[in-house]
Amino acid sequence: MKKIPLMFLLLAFVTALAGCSQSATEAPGTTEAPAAGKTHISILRPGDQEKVESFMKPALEQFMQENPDIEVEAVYESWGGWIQKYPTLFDSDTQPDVIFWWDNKQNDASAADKLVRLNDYLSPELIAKIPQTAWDMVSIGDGDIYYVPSTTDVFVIMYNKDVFTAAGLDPEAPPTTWDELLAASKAIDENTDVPAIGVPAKTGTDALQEFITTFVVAKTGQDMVNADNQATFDTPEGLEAMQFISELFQYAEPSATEFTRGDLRPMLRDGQIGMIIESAWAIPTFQEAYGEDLDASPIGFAQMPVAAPGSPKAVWMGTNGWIATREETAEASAKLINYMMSDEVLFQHHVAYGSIPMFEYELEQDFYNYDFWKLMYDEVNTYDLYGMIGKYSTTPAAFYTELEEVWQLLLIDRIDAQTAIDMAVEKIDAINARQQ
Amino acid sequence: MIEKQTIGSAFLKWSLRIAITLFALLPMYAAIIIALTPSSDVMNRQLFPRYFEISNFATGFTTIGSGIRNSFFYSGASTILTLIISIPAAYVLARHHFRGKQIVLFGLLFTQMIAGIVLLPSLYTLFYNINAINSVAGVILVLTGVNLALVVWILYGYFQTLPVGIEEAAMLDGCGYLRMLVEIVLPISGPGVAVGAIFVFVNTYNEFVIPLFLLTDQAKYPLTLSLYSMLTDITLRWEIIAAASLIAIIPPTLIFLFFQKYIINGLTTGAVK
Amino acid sequence: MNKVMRRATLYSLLPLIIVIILIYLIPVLNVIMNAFTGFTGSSAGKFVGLANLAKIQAEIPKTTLTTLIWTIGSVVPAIILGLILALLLQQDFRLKRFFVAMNLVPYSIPLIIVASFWLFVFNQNFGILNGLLLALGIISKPITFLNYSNALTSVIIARIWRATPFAFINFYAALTTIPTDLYEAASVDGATPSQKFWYITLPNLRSVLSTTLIVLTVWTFLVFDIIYGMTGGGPVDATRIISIQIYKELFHMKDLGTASMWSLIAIVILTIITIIYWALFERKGATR
Repeated sequence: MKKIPLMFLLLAFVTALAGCSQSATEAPGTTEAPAAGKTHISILRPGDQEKVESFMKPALEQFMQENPDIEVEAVYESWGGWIQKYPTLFDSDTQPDVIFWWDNKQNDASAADKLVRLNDYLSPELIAKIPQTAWDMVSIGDGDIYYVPSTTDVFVIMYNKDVFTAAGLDPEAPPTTWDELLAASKAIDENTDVPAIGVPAKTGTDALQEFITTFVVAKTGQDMVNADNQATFDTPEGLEAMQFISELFQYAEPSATEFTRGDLRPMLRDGQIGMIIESAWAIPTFQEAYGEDLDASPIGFAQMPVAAPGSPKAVWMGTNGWIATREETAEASAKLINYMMSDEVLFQHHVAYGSIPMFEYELEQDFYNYDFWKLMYDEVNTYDLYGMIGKYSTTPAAFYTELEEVWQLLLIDRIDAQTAIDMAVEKIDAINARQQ
Repeated sequence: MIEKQTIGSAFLKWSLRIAITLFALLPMYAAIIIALTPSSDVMNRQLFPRYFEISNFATGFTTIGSGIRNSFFYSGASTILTLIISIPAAYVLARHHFRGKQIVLFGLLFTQMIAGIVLLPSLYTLFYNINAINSVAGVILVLTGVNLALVVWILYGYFQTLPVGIEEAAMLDGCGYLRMLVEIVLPISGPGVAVGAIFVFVNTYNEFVIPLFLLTDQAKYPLTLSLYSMLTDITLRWEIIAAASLIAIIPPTLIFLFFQKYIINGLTTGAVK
Repeated sequence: MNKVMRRATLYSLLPLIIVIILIYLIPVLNVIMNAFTGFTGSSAGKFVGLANLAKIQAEIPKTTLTTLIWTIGSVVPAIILGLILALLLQQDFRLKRFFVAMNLVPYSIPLIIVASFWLFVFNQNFGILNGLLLALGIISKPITFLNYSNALTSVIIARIWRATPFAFINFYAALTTIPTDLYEAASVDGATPSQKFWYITLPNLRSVLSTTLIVLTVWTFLVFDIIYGMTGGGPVDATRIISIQIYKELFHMKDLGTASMWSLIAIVILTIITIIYWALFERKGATR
């Protein structure tokens, strides 16, 4: 009977599949029965596994040695995969206990109910050590802490000194006000054949929104979308900001909607563009070419120009930070967060990712012993910081998708500043209407 | 076909042949140039390869190696499952008349019309509700489902071209139906089955949308998702993307070129009607 | 048909039918249901009539138009190019196998890799096409192939590149089945090559042409990977076709209702297209 082998094959196949599915649905965070007396928790820092492991592995080993009653399992996941499907894990209550989260997803529909209030668990020293500007930025009201900022990536101007020289500008005197920024752009535009300022405007990245935010908040002094999810830039100040942006856009690279930040960095490195508005993420691209000490390289750094002399200093800042997601394991989770925020561990984390130093301890280490790091560190501590938009919304991603279109239209000069504001407000209203 | 050719028309033919073939090869050529360029020079335009940075390929392979492995697993599993389901079904469709046959055939055609992304919001929610996001078995089932119609259709056409005599003799003999299928029909169906298998394998290897919706675990990513992650990375490494893309297309390209004859024969005998 | 045979038929078809029901029938019914259900705010879980349609209404004309331009713009050239190629490569000549093989290569390349390959061609900085055109003196400064006005054409070219081999191989296979004596007889009667093409080749390709046309249309209509990888649907809405809308509504707007409404729109349009094709080809074909 030849049919038996075939049936067997089929059976074996089905069993194999069932086996796969069992191990597959055992999503990260679902923990096996904990060993007697031990609290079992899991931690996720999304990103390239190799990079994450480089600081996470030794840290966790050390942590478990110091806390023998806690067993920590590290979960690895790319940003791309994680951002898309975290709702699944939260909805099925299989999310990791401790997660490296976004500041604007504290009200996210799937996660909001799970976030643990951390005020009573965090050490007072830690709370005092994190810059007040950063706490202000991530607060969602009433002094409750649900989110511990762990990276602080502020925008600064990075410029190519050779391009500045070629344009007849003083490479040691970068722009400090909006007027000077425009003047420098104009000079580069007229005297060289490279575009003056890089605008990362490719569809589907958040970069253009962040570019816009950093200028708008400097004029309006508040988040672009407020606690009621209403637009705040529909004001004369907002219009001024938008008009300035529109003027600046004239000096952007042609067809800016093709470019991501990843494209602009090597262009600045090679002198194919004059300036970019960037954060620490860009540093490795330059260090690869010029060595660790960028102070001695053709790449110049400057704090974000202010709107006018004496205007408030304000800037967009990207942050990720730690959240705890289960009341049952809150104590162990918070212990782990405190540990991840300790001087040395945070230093290693920041080194792995080349993030801006956050504590004085880090600034004293050799790795951060350069002026450009100090400049960014100071900006975090002295500027008003504004994060990703939509932190009071249940669907923050919607703002990015919908507004991007408006800013792209402004960029390619299809609409003027006032129209851009009107369109943006309309889009925001439409998003809110959906949630009613 | 014998035909007198003037020099002019021969010239025209050759230029067209060459032009269209250059069009077919241009993107690959562009990818090869970039794949050979060190990262520091990638932003400069090159018409001919100026560098020979072979290490990009090593990096590319380490980046998508596990993706290729996963893709082979998904493709292999769906190919087997698809064939197990399609062969008997296509056979009865080709050989027997029964009530509802037209409905089955029409239903299969209909699935081709709504394939792909249209279904995924629903499938995503379905998977989500039964907590099967990241389930390898689930993904394979969907990958199988979207290929069934094509393979049944190919085999349906193929089986119709087989002579009827032998199997009827076997039936009279009292052979079991399945046994008859395995012992008599399958051995002479090699070309048809091969074409079906090639199509499923390559289609699955190329699939992007289904795993994009249904898988989140990086360790389970097929190579298409690994490559997409590289395209959206914080640091864009074009030279590595190019090298990895070139490595990734080797298996399906080899399969296609190697089985070229089979595929063309399969197409002439029934797949395209 | 005896009882044994009936059972054998049933068992043979059952797995197929079950999988089709699971993967197609249930999701399609689900799409239809969800298209009329609310998923956001206070309407969550309720029947909302056409409210989901109203939410996306403003975008429907533009997106549908873009989708149709994308589909027709890539399918028609791919078919013509595929046919020309099949005719050119069907005769015996030196290197024939090489040419056939090279032109088949794009057929098996994953669409997301098609996207990255064509970025290498179109990229403003290092794209080879600008380099080529500059070197040949056709242009004096680089063209921005992926900007607001050119992006749709560029993604269409990528799609043509990937679709042509499919059309080619279908025609190529079909050409080998045309009996050579038809041509010989025509030659004896003094037919010119173009007469042979119009009166022998084309009529014999009729059924393969209609199949290729409809298959390519349906496949292209719903392509997601190429556009998602090359432009993300932008700049602005330049390349935003229905498949991109489905993704956007589901993952960015988190609204299964509107995502399903887009799916339903795609199904309706595809049904209409199929009926039109059927009316044009199959009916005439049947009476031939």
